[in-house]
Amino acid sequence: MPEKEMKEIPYFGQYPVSKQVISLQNDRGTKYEMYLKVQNELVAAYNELRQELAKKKFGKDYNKITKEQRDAINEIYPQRISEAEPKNIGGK
Amino acid sequence: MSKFKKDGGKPTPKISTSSLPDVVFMILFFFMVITHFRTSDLMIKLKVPTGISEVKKLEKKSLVSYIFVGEPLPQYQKLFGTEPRIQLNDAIAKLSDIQSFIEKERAARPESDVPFLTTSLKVDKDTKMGIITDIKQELRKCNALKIMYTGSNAKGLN
Repeated sequence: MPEKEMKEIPYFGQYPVSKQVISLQNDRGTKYEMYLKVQNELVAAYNELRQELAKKKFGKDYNKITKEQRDAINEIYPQRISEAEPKNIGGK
Repeated sequence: MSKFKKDGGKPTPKISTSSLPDVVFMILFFFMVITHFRTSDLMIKLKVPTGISEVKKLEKKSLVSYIFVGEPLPQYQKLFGTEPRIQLNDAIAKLSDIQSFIEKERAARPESDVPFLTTSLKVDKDTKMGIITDIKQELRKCNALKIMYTGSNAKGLN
């Protein structure tokens, strides 16, 4: 598990925030459909975590809370998807 | 004494033109009805990936420029081949055209909107990632960093 860092977050006070980054690498021969599905799953995972925290902290859905509350949650679970240079195993 | 008079000598009467405006208007309305405003006609096969759950609605369509990628449609394959190609507006383009395309899109909008310009990639699901990566590199070169992928929420039924 990635390292955590204590951060001052509005509504939450001191909160351990993960220094996570998701690295995504694809091949040049990957189909776009597969790529988008993977991206979709990653975003879905973030949304799930955010939704969970919103429910726990505010008792409401993530998209029902105020913008400030949402920003606080986004700071706890920042969406960091890094795309590495693609490989070229399959050729063009 | 003949019953039937030979009609000769009399000039033929003028054709009445009173219904001409009706005819002209009818033709005009006919063309108005059958013409549609040209939004870029797709020259490529475009079936967006389906079964994408985390879709978001576009907020401001005026701030979006579209890049289409996919195999040319059969009637264009003689011209452009069968490999996936890029379509900008309504013409098949080269990779190197993307930067000038983005510049043009920026110039067409008020300066205050430029930072919010988003590039929407409408890509056929069978396209290989190679060309997408190349496009993204081009976009990065001209600092168009906001991109969107297009997918559909529908369950894959193709």
